[in-house]
Amino acid sequence: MKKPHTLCFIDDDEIYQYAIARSVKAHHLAEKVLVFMDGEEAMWFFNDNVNNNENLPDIIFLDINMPIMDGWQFLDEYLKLKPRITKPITIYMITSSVDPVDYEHAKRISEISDYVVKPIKPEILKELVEKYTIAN
Amino acid sequence: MPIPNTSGNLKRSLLSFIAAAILVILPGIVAIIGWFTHIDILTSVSHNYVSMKFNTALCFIILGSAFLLMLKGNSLASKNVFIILMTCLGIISGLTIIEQIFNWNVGIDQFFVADPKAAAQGLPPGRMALSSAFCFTLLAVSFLGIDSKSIAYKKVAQIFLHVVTLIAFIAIIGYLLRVPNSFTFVFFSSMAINTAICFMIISVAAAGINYNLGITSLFTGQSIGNVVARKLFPRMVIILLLLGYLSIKLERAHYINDEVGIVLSTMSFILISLFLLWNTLNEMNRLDQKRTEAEQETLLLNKNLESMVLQRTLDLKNSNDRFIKIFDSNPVCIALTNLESGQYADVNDAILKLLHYSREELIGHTAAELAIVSPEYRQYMIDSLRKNGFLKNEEVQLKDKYGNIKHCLINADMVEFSDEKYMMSFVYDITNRKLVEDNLQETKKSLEVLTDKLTNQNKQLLNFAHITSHNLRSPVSNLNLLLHFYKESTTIEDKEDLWGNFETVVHHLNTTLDELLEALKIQDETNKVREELSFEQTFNLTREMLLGQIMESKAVIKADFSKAPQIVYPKTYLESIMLNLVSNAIKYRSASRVPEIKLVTEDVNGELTLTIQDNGMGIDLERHKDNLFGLRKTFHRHAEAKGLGLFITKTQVEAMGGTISATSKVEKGTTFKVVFNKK
Repeated sequence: MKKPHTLCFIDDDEIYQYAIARSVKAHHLAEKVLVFMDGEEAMWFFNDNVNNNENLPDIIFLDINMPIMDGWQFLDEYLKLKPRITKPITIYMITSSVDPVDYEHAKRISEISDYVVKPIKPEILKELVEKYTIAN
Repeated sequence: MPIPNTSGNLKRSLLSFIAAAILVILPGIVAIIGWFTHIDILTSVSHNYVSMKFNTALCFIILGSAFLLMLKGNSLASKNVFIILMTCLGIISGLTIIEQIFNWNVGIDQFFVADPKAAAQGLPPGRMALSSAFCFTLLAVSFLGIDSKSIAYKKVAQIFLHVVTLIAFIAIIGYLLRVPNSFTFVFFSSMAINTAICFMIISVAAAGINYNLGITSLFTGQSIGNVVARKLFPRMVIILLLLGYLSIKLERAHYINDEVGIVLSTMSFILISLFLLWNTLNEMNRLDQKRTEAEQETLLLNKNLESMVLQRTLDLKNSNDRFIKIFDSNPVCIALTNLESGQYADVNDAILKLLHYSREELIGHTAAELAIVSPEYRQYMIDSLRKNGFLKNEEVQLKDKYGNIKHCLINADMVEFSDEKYMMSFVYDITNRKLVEDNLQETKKSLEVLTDKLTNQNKQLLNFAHITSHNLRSPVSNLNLLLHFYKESTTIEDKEDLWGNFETVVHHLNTTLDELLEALKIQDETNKVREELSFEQTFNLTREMLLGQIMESKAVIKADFSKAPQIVYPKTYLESIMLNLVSNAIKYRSASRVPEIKLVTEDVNGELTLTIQDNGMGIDLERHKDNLFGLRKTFHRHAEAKGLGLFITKTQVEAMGGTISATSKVEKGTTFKVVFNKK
């Protein structure tokens, strides 16, 4: 049982970011929150901190639809980087897409722990974090 | 030389002539041997008979040899030898006649051998008998005349031969009946018996050469008279000889006197003649019977043959009628054309109906001449026929009398009639079928177009559903989330803070709905009014609208619309498409290069295309190919990137049945290609 230290949200939706920040704060879900507006921004961070386990998040909440680099493209890049990352990181796919194609795609990638459809109410976020806590 | 009888008898006749010649030459040789060896029996058959003189024997050898020459020799040399031989014969016999008549001795009688025996009898020694000399002269003359071109000479020669036969015959009878060597008979009795026989043989044989002349003609020939002559004459001769011999014998023995002898011989002759006549009559009747039977048989055969011919003719006519019926009433058009000349030899009714020609207008004319097919096509048909022997299911267009095109299927074969090669063609009119086929083809085409359109619309609908799913769900879920927080919030400040966020989401939702509605409107406006537009004018308008950006970026824009200057298209769409693509090209320019933009229109097989090429920053198409034209998809960190322009452009192009595609290289540039009317 280990509570996550850092949560990472990759999403271009400002309102979503706002809601998440409120939820994390309200339920004391983590010490630190990382926010990126698209996959490319997130990749820059991961590339910079690949050996810095302290800065790396414990859980990534990844959106699919984003400009410049979307969720899938981020995953492709992340998987290339992954052999160099020593820290175990859980990835949740968080999306407004109810497209079954996206769901099937997500199921085929073993790194994705869960696929959750928006809206993410504070309770759902709490459950996801608790799931991580139990698993670790 | 003429040889009696025809065909099979020819060889036999020739053989008997050669035998006659040899039968004459042999006694001559025997007599000469007798003269040299002094064996009397060789010169005269009996001791008390007159001998064949040496000259006579020589003459027979000459005569026989000449006869052989006449039969076998065809060369000029042999003819000359023949004439020389005859001349010798004539000289010897002529001289002998002169000697006999004038009782001279010219020294030819004992020229070769002496004749002591004749001298003892008081006769001129070694001299040939007058009758023999006379006969040789006649023979020499007639031999020279046998092959003559003059018919008169031939006839004379034939008569001379008969005279020789007669003389020899009388001499032989004299010997047979032992007529006393009286003065009146001395002319005949001075001829030796073997000489007489030789004369008999040679004269009869020679007379057989011109068998259709003189008495010989009586015995040769196939008519009934000749048959009778051949049958009756030898028997009568034998009987007469027999009777004469008997009566003379009886008279000499004094059994009967002269008168009784004459009466008896006359009576016997009448009786025997009667018997002979009766015998001949029977034979003739039998022949006649045979002939009648043969005639009847022939008649019967003829009749059978006639009925057979009649039956065959009838059969032939029936089969011909059947064939004509099949040929004429056949719904398939059949034409028989001469392969060499190309002329129609025969055509059936169906082809006349198809091409509206009369039979007379077709037969004897060629299809090329009447412009039914082109001469090239006919040549092609002939070539394939000669190569393969047939032509199978060829589609061809035939022209009828009035120039109407008939679509036909043609099958052809090569046939031969009486050594002439013909092309037998079978033609099926498929004009109606073709029409239906064409209709079907057209229907299929329009169905395909409809299917394409439907597929396109379906794709757009799917795309739209996708967009709705992504772009409408997120604001709605945000609203839900905010509402959740709002309910739970306790402070006024917090509620106000949330309210501000509500405004943002509603605004966002509003924009998204507007954009989607715009897209929906475009998709719905597939029947938008199209007008003839000039690319140049539209481009000028675009340049005016983007003047500020062009000046700021110092962009160099080149346009070449010469290959396809115009298009029929909705005005607002073309303006929107060009504006979006050109403004994108400026917007995503490279920081390190002066923007260069090139617009080109082309008409490729009726497909109107617009290409817009820039040297800007480019897009990583490996990563973004699925999203390039998507709504709210941006690929560059650019303040003005909204992810709307290409989405609208694509929607407009596709709504009008076209396509848009892009090729790009990062830091090199991008090329967009619009095909306005995809075929």
